[in-house]
Amino acid sequence: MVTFDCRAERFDGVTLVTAVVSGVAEPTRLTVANRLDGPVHPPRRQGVPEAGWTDDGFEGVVGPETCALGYATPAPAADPPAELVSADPVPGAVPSATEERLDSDAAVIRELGDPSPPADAVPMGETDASPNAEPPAAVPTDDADAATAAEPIAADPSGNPPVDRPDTAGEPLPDDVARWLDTVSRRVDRAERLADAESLDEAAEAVRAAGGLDGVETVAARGSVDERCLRAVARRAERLADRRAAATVPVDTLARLA
Amino acid sequence: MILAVTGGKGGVGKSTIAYNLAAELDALAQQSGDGRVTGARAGSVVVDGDLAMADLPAGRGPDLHDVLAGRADPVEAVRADGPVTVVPCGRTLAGARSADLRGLTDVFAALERSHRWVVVDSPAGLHADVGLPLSAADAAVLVTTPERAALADALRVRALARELDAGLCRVVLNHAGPTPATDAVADRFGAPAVAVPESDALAAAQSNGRPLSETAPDAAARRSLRDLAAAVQSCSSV
Repeated sequence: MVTFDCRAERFDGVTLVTAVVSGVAEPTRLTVANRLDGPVHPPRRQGVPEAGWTDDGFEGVVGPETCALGYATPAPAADPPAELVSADPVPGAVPSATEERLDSDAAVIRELGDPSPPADAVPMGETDASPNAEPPAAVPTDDADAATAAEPIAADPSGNPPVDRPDTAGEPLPDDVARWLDTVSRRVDRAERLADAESLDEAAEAVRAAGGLDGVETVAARGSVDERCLRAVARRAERLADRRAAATVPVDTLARLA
Repeated sequence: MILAVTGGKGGVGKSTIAYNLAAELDALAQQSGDGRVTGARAGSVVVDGDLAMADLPAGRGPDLHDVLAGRADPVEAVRADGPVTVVPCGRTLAGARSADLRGLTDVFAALERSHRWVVVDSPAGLHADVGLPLSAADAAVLVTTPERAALADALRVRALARELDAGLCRVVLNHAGPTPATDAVADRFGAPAVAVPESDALAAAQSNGRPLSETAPDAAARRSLRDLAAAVQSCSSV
């Protein structure tokens, strides 16, 4: 007799759902559906969801043994968080998770690993524009198109430039400042994408764009530091701008005295 | 037919073999008048599958990075104006990062609709960019040099190919000396071996972005390449 036990715990804005299916006496096709009001963030390897996970939950062959399932979702916890929709014995079937056949692209990537270079390895200012594209403008801040092309997943899907750009567009900034702002802007874009992801695909894309779960942790960890730095820079820049505006250099007077 | 040219170790001549194999397959098809038989499909196309360290001639226009990032169709990345038809790959790390590997199999399938041979020049290593071409391929050609390290890596790729159900058509023993151990290699890999002798003419042709059949058609290495193409052709008809 198959029993289904399931609970949800909320940490830090994320609900973790764990389920245990016990009493599985023979290979059984399980369908477990998420009942929380939000997307399913399944377990992943190499950025690719484990076999059997879908937008709605899990469907796959398990057993014969006790089987544990778990996923995350931004939706608030509720009771029950998930439901066993069906459990149909399929005698002789091979459990999907035990020895995964490399028979799909996702399985190959999961098993062998995505060789894409990590986000931090991509040199600053290197763009991914096609060779036919116009050469990037000399001033990095004016280079909105090229910068978004370098990180297409970080760009706003509506095609709008990242929110910080209009402030600096048109006014060339010193290279080092522009580069730093671009770096932070990319992290902010990533954080926004991770926060806004609603479907499984969007979340997968956002996590991939952030460089996998390690990248997600980096984005999360850098958040408060970035915010403090940005506000400190804004305050200091504001004060300097005020002082500079107040100080009029008397060129004519000084010229007469000289 | 999708053919993965792979090998595990870097620098053993995978790109050179892939490029020249495509040229020889075209030459064979021309000789036998197969062009008419295959109808609308063009001959061979080489795909530079080394997303992070591309090395086939590129030129201008969209490349495999653009295709995998969803910015171009596979057919748009085909360069048919050179001596060998190529789908080049971008050279930037940003491009490699934006490329979504999950589209690779579809790219091969799209190219196979318009070309008789899709020769995939695979990168070194054992990551998914090696596994996906093997998984999509109808057959594989394994390239190695006689050095111990290269052979060891090639055997690892051999094992992966087996797991991915990619039949091994030939092992190429590249940079072979005067008495190549083709029998021992064939025995160990479980597929016939073709020795391609060390050849300055071949290296020079590759660095000029031309097949050996154009620059030195009578070189000894050319005969090996022609044998290889004939063998691959016979693998496809099985």
